[in-house]
Amino acid sequence: MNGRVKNQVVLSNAEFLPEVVRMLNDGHTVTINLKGYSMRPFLENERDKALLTKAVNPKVGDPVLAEVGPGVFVLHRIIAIDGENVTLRGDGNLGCEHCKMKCVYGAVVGFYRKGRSKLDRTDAMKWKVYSWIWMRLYPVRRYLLAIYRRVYDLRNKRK
Amino acid sequence: MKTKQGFNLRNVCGQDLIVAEGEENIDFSYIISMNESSAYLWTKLQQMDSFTVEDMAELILRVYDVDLDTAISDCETLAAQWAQIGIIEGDDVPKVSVTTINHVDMGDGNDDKKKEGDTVKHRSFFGRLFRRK
Repeated sequence: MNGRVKNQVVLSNAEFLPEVVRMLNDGHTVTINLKGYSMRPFLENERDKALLTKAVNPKVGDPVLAEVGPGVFVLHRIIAIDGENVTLRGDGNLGCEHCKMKCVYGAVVGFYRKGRSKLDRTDAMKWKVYSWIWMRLYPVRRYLLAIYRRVYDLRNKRK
Repeated sequence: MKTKQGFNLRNVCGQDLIVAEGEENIDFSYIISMNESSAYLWTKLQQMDSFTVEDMAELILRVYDVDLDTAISDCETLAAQWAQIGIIEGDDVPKVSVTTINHVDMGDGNDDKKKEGDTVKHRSFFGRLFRRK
């Protein structure tokens, strides 16, 4: 027998997220680790977690889990809805993605940031104020993200 | 000892995983991968009110061709690991010296760093913005 505990389990998005979607549809909420830099500056790669629930009537401005291509899942913000067509853009991205409303599977209840156990809810003032400011800064986002990246890298180097 | 409630075995993407489940929430940010033998043990032990290392070894002997001593010593190590990561509880969990279970480190391995960070009073940008007195 060789019972042992592995250090880290890495599951591929294309396989794992459909399971998450199934659980959301069963009425569960699901907590997942976040990977990637596309929701900077609020969310950071492999640092933060998201608490997801089934998407019901998503609105512009909501961060959602959506399938933007076969097996390609993103957790990005909705920036436009035109009938059944949804446009998404990550807070840390300049380009956008498109999908149909039926491919928007998960809504975000909140985020666990920086290892905290307290949830930053998406219906709370902090998220709303951040969202209001960040969406309006889109014209200069490229420069803000560049500054953010340099400061973040510098801080990490010092640690 | 006994298994803690809420840690259920799920097969996700062909892997046996212990996932922390509440009544509503399923937490994939804290998952434990099990190999075939430990997954088998977990499902059996979950059905028992309490168990001992000898019970574990007996379960193993039913399915695997190993001698009793090996089974008992492996089960002791496994139970100690499970206790270390907090998925079983009880007064009689075996204690294995720290050196042997040192490598069991859940998450990203930065736990020590995080703990140090917690003691340092660091206020985040939003913390400073919203909680200023």
